[in-house]
Amino acid sequence: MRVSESTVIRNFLHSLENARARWSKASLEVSTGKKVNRPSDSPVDSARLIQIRDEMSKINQYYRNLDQARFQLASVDEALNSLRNLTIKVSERATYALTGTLEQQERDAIASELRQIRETMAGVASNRVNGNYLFSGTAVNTPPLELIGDTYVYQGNGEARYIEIAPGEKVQVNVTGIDAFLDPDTDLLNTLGELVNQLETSDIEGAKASLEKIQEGAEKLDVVRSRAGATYARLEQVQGRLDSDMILLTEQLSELEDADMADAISRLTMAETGLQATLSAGSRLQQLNLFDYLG
Amino acid sequence: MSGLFSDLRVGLKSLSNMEAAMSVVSENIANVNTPGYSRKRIIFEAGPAQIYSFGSIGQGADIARIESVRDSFIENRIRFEMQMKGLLEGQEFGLSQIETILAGSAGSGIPDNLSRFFNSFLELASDPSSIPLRQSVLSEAEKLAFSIQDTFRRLDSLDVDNRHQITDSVASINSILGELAQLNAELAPLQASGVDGGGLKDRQQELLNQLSQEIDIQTYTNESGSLVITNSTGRLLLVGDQPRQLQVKETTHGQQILLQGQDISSEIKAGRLGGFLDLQRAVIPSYKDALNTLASELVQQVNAIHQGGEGLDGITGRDFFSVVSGQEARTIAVALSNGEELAAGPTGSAEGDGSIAQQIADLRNQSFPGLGGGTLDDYYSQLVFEAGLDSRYVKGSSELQSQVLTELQNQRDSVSGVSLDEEAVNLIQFQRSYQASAQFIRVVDSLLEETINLIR
Repeated sequence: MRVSESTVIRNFLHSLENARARWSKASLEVSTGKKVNRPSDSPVDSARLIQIRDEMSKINQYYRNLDQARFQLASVDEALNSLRNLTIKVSERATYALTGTLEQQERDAIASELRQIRETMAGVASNRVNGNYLFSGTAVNTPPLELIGDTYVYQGNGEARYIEIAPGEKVQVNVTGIDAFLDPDTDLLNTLGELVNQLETSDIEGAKASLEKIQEGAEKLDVVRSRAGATYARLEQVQGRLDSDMILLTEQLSELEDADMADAISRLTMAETGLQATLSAGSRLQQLNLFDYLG
Repeated sequence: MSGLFSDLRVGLKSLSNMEAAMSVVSENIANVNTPGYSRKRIIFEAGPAQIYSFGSIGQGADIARIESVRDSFIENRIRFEMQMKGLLEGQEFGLSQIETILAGSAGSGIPDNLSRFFNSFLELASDPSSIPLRQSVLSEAEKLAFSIQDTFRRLDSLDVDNRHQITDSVASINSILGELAQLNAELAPLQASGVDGGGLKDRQQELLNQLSQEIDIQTYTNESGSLVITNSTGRLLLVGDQPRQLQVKETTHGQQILLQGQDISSEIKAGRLGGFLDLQRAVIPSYKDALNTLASELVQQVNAIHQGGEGLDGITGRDFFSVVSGQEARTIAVALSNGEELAAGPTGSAEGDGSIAQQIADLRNQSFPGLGGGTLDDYYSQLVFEAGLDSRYVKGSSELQSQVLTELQNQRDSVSGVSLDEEAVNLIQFQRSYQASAQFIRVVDSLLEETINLIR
């Protein structure tokens, strides 16, 4: 084949363009640390990356929801625990008040102590967390109790509050006032009210019945608490599952997206060498022709 | 019988022949870097011979012609491949921008905002009465709406850039046609007398190559030897010295390319103009439509659920997003003015009920027939996939096309290009011939002197 000057130059330019393009791609990969810098670098991986990022972002939100659920359940547990401790105190004081040797005066003192405990219990039952009443069901802005005469009347509703902690997996994070302390059968707060009256009016038999009912109510509290505790334990399981999902996704993301640095750097070095070689070949272009050898 | 004087003339003619040959060499060397230049070759032929009874003796050599060395088959192939290369270049311009626009910058593209939007509803469902969480939903929704609008706007401005490209391309087509018409006029008298056009022809080829990069054309030479150019379907673009100018007509559906008042846009299938028109007619609208479809589905689904809910202010039936129908991606906006208007729970429910917010958060996992049976996220990643694939295909083809062209141009140059080695050899050859002719004249001169001295 006849090789003309322009062929030599065109071939040189073509190889120079290629060498520079290879070098630019390799250096972009090394400098960003990523092998997919534009969708066209790998269309399939780019589409998959969008989905993986969405999955990861979703899991991060579930982590936040888990924290929220934990906090909510811990608050409920704490409140129930306080109520439970108060019922123990009520039992002690009432049992003591009902021993036959006590004067009415002493009973009155205990009654007024119990009245105060009742108010404390009502206070705990009206706890707010993040501005939400814990025990009002979904009526979170409504105080759960209203004192009408000497009777606490429930103002909240019986609805459960749910938080989604994993795809399609919701947990109940509240305990309604009905479940906790205003169950029609045990009715902790109002029975305690009756007990106070009975102690003040020396209705010993009535007071004994009331105390029994209060103890039933306390047991009910235990049941409710252990239910919330079981939910809390479930949160930990879900957290573990999310963690392992997250690890898998992070691995996939890195596999799809991250450049293999050793490989990328060696390719960059090769591209650099190639570019240098091409350039030095170019600098010798047109140095070689017959004219140089003619006298 | 031939005489010494006529030998002298043969020698003189040979000298001037060699001078001409060396001018050709010098022209070739001077044009070694001129694009499109075809090397010239001088063709000698033996002069008329005188016939004698014992045979014939020639009268030296004549210059038959000086011709450009070219291969019109390869030149036609080059033009065809130029049209393909132009098409790919035109498409590459838009497609590489589209993939960048759709991919968005990391963390702020549509998919990221879509994720955060649904996350904010998921979080709101966990504490529906919280005013800060409600505000956060609104702000994420606004960011999402903005990113959809912004992506659409970028496609719009690509469309505008592309319009300018079309106008520029048509302008350069017209200017090349004008120049070719002038060349036809200059070449006409030369062709009539059968002289090789030389540099004018080279210029013509170069212009045809440039024209081919812009638009798909066909060419032929008519009976009077002048170049005729038509478009791909045979409409005349140039006859003789009469170019037909293309015009760009702006319409609401993009631009039309008019030739003598007729819309020939759909006949332009290659060259850069073909690529730009393809972007304008098919590619950009398809991505815009896709964005509208995405926005429309999002708005419909979110609104349908949100309408079934009740704001903290007790008002029901509100839309969450507002759009102008048919222009969803351009106009999507949040319809609520504050967090209290947001409906997190169903109508008649208490403020701690987040089931509406939860339902909206669940939309991210739902597949919709309107989105080809995928989720919103699937639909968008499919879009990015397609844009990436298109761009990758065009880039790959464009590289391949450059290689094909380089190869063809090398082939052309192996016929038509200037080789300095070859010119050096020619120069030596002609120099030596010149020296030999000069020597010959000296010998004839001395013979003449001898003859003249005979008489003295």
